[in-house]
Amino acid sequence: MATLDWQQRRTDGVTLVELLVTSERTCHVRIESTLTPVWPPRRQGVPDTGWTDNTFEGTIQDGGRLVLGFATPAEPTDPPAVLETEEEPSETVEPRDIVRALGDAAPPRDALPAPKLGETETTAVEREPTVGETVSTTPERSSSSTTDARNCEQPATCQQGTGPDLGVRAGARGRVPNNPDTNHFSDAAPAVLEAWFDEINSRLATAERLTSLESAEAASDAVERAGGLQAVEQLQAQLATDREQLEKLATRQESLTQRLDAVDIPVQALDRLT
Amino acid sequence: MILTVTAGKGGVGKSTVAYNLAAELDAVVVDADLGMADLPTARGPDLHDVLAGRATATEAVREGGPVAILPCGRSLAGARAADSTALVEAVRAVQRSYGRVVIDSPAGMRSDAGLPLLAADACLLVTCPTEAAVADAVRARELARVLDTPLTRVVLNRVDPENLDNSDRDDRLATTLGAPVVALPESETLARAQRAGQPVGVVDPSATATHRFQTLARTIQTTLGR
Repeated sequence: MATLDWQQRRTDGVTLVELLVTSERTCHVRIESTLTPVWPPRRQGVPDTGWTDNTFEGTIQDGGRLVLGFATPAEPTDPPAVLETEEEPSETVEPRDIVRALGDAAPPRDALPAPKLGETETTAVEREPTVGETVSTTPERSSSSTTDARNCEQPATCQQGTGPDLGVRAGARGRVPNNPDTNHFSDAAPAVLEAWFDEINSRLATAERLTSLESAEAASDAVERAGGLQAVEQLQAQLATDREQLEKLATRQESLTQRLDAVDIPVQALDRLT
Repeated sequence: MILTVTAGKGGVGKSTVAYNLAAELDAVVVDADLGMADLPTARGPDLHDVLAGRATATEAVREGGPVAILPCGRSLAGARAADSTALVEAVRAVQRSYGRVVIDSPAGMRSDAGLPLLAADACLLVTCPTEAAVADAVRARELARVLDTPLTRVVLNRVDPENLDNSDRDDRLATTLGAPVVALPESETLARAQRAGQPVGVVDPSATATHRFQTLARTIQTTLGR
């Protein structure tokens, strides 16, 4: 017969459960957690061997011990798990066994471009209406946020995959629109450009808050939140630099776009010739 | 029947072999190289979508071309969001609907190469007459053995056409890898057909490569009994 002992520890809103299973004879055990959800230990992104959902299955050798643990956001409860014994161990290789043994082949998170910040902090900030201006891009933004994200991540199907149309925007009031789709680059664009645009977005958000003031009190609050009058002056200077740099980028972008439009590799002719 | 075409090493012509074999077997070819799509594709759901639960496997099969294809996705984000462990069931679903599946497996020895072997009834190993290719083929062979996936044939690709039939070479390789060897010549026709997204049998029915694929397909059907 196998016996189950346990310890539970609550820390930072998480319960850590340690289980000890002992048995005099070799047997196969099945342990089911009474706490849900279960956060099992993971290997290569998939739950460790033996874990499926809330259940662990394993084998104990003669007189041996099986030690395992898991985490859960649920409060500690006695008992944190129940023990069942005597199932035939399964010899079949499961897909998860392959991933654990051979390694996850998915590209690392760092390989992906930075997430669309326009949909998180910048969107929330830009939703504040400024005086005399309608947030006309809101319907566009909500429809694009319900658009399957996949559509913008596949360059072939994403119309804005080449990035924002800087020529138009820099010539306008120098404001970056709220549409997160046009703010999102295809996978190929450097993350550094995305990061730079995010910085400009952030500065614009602060600046827009400073242009919508209706009272002396509101003005003081806004200036304080921006970091003081000196910070506001620096922000003004930085925005001028941003405008300049975006205009230069727009010129370069236009010239490259023209060359891209003009180039047409005669693939079939080359195929016949080579 | 589910047949995985594997190699160990990249660049030996695995996708070309998988595509042409699927053509001769009237099978659906599944491009399982999640990180780098090898076979032609167009708009519509792809394997990334299937493995992320956004489409069923049969929805993603394209029947418009000379060979039915379940293409792979082409984005890093899609590759990352895909649950590779779902490949086995996805391939089985295609097999239930279409009967025959050829999986174009990625190179290497990670789970993306292991899972197509797990999903398959048998495999076929593609290699080239170079030390590096054969060394990697040996490793891939071992992986198939560990996973209990029988090896039907070895395809020795990119052979010098002047030295196409060399039984000494083929026998040595067959002993090393544990299955009979079929040699395919280095062929501009084959390469051109693949670039154009066509089976070589359509582009040049009298090409050596065409005959070899036809024979290979018949052998596999006999061996696997389906």
